[in-house]
Amino acid sequence: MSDVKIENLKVAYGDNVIFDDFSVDFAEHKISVVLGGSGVGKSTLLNAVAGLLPYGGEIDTGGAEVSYIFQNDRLIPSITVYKNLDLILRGICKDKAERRRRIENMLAALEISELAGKLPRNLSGGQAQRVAMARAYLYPSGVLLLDEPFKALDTALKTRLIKQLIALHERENRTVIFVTHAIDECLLVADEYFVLAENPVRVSLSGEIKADKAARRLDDKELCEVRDVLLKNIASL
Amino acid sequence: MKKIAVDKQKAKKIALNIFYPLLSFAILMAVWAIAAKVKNDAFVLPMPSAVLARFFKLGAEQGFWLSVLATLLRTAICFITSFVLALFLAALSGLFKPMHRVLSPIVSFLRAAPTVAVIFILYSFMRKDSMAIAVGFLIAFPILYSAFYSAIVGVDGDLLKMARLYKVSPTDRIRFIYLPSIADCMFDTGRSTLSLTLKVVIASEMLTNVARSIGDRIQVAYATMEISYLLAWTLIAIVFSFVLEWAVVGLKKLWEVLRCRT
Repeated sequence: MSDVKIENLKVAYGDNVIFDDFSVDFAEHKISVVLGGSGVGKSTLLNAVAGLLPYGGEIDTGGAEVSYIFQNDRLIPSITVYKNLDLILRGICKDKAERRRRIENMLAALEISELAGKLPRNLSGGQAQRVAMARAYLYPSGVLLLDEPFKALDTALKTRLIKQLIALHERENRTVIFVTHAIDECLLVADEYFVLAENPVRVSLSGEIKADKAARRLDDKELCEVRDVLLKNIASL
Repeated sequence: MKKIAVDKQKAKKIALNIFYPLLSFAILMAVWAIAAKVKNDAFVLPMPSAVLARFFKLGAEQGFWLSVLATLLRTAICFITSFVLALFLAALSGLFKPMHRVLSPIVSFLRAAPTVAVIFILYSFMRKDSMAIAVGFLIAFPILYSAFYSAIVGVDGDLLKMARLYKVSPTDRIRFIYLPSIADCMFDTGRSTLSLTLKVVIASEMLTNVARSIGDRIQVAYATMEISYLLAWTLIAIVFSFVLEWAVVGLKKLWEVLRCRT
């Protein structure tokens, strides 16, 4: 496990500079939520941490592996859910029975055991996203990245998945960077939060939420106060 | 109840698969028969019945199977060679862009070159039967290469990034991401290019009088002005073209079944 230190990050798409001299530190074992409007560079930040795009500066994950829940599920369409999960474990665990055990446990933890034999095209959006979550947690990483994973889901399903995410986090205790533009998601899952402002991208506000994640309700006093602070900051950007 | 509904649907699908091709064939025959009747000259355009009668007798003709099999063998050799080479080079081009930049103009040049000109150019320095193979290769290769290259570079970049992040092995990436993504293109382009290759090989055989070939039989029929014989051999070429296409469709179905099992 490790914290994630970003120092003097520089990312540009051609002449369009997204990050220039950007630094931030995400705490070890915590869920750090990055809030910001559309196009501010939240996904770019995660892609840089995952090493999926070229960047300048330093990103230090302490040598930890990274897993990633993308905005879309990115499941391989031609193979079953089970095979999709097995594929990422093959390089790590040669024992087929052990891989099966791990996959079955993870599917059970997310209450989706019945999906193992299905093809991704036969899954609903919420089911596919839970399989993507299972994949990310099956992969033995120290750092987990989540890019607005609940964006396209209805409120009831979103709440259920957030609870499952919190339960998995408490079990596995990884360093999580969760980007979203939804303040309520931030309030429910964050140990610490960072609000990004653009031109150039910088952290305009950061803070911590101490309340027990598993017991949080959106009308809790602490969460209401944090919401007010966040709304004021976002409105001032 | 559900099973009966599925069976009915299947029966309807089969019936439609038989009905429409038969209707299409009947329309073609009717147009042909009307044209022959209007022309009223069996020397120029015989009735379909006369051609079909000749067609069914061809199988018993001496050297028939030798001619057909020799042409099919030439077609198979040039098609398989161009298929394998096109796939290999397209995969390399997908990995190394400079390779595609070098190959692309050559492929465009080959695609634009008129078939007859290619035949005449090769005529002066190649054996006749090898020449039919070379011409078939030169026609099939650019089509297959372009299609395979487009399919390979069109593979979902998001999936490839996911595979890179989770360190999926190169073999598994080829097997589970690349192959399923390009399989449709391989079978569909392969199917149409295979029948085109057969046509080009026959044309080449015809123009260069390759002994023991469908092209040679058509050339003989043309030289002796036996139109019903010429049309009967043309029908043979069409029938084998369909047979080859069906073989590729069968292979595609087999691939889909095997893929589902694994």
